Amino acid sequence: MKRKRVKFWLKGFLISLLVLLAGWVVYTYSAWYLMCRGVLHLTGLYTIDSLLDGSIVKFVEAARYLFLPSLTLGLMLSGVFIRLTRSNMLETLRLDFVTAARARGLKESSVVYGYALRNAFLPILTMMGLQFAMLLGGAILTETTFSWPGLGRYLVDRINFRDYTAIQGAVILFGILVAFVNLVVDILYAYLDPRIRF
Amino acid sequence: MTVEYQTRRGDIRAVNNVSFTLEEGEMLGLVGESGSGKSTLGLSIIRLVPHPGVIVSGHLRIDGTDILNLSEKEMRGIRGKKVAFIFQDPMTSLSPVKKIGAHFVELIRTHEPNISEKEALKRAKTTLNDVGILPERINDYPHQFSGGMRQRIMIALAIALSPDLIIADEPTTALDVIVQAKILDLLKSLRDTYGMALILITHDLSIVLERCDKILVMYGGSFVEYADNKELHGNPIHPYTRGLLRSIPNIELAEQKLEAIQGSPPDLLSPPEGCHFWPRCSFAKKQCRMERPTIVEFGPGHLVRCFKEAERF
Repeated sequence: MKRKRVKFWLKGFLISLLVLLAGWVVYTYSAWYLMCRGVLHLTGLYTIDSLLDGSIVKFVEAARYLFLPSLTLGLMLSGVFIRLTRSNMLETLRLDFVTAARARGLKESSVVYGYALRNAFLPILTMMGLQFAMLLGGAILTETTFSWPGLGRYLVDRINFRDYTAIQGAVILFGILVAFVNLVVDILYAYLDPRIRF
Repeated sequence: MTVEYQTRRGDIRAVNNVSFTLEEGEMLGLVGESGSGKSTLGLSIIRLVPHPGVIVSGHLRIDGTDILNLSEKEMRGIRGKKVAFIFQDPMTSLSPVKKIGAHFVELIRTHEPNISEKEALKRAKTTLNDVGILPERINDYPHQFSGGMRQRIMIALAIALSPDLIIADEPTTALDVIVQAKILDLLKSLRDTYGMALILITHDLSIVLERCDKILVMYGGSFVEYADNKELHGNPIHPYTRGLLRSIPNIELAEQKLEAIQGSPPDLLSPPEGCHFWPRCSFAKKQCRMERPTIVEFGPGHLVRCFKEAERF
């Protein structure tokens, strides 16, 4: 609950701050509509569509719309990862092989990234898989506030219309995405840690 | 050399004014109980005393250069290249996510950047062969090796750049006795082939007596006795050294009960006044409780910190 409150606060804060201070972040649906007139509509992903259209200018435009919602979503989730990475790194940096690597005269950067971070990464990866579901949940709220015509807002719209078939479709798609991401995470385990074999 | 752990409850003097010299090709045994500061002394030689340890004072010269004055970058050039370290627990001393070969390539190319990866791997294979690991296994991961084999790999990593000095911090504590003897013999034969100096840190005096040229006994962070192997074995002066020697089982005197040294090591936060050993020493006199004995030279190269000896002169 707390995190949701943070997110709502963040959104309000970011909208006012960024729009007031840096006028270049356009964010309303109407502005988006103006921009997208005349853009090829193939995948429905505006950044990709504009690229397929061969227009860099439109791509930059589309990316600008994405900036603020992405920042909101990312900031919310980053807290979990910052804390997890910190505690895991502190634990790993105390292990023998880190000292042994230092005793071999390796650079501090390769000790920290090559030895400590790689070994501390497994739990972080697990959390990434789990948090992906949170990300999709967050997307529903974020898209609604930012008027971004995405899957999340589509779901909210359809709920308002009691359009059960559409709701089912969206929910199943979300479910498939979460399952798929977690499958990829599981496969990545074996790549990151040679002790894990399936 | 003096090393302190600066903790909230006060400074712990883990290594108190210990000094020694080591010639090329010599093997020094560093003996002491747990907590006597021997590992700290070993780590301070490569300036890797863990937080909150600080080298308070002292000099550490390798080939004449005082490494305590070097920058951190210059120090990295020494670690692994001139002074190599072998750790106590081989099970955790290799990164579990890196291949054996990758450990070698990284080490060799850090210190000699011009060497290609292929050549580094080739050198790694020869070194592995030297320590009795099949060179084909270079692409295996640490978890595919047993403890003894991993310690061999650690030794191979240590000798890969033919350093001048190898510090082995209880290299066999985590291994069983048979592997222990093999590893120690391996270290000794490598010493004979490559001619590097070797410091063997251990709490097991019998290991040291079997293999080392010189022996340094530490107690409670302080220097206790330093002598040649033969001299120390035949003519131990300090009551602590004598106690250690008496506590080694002897097969010819199987009937005899083993003697243990009474008491436990001192709390270094508040070490006893005077000689650190007096509460456990059967020869302790009033003077031992009041003053700290100085180091006296008993014979050529035989140094002792004890009043008992000073009296003889």
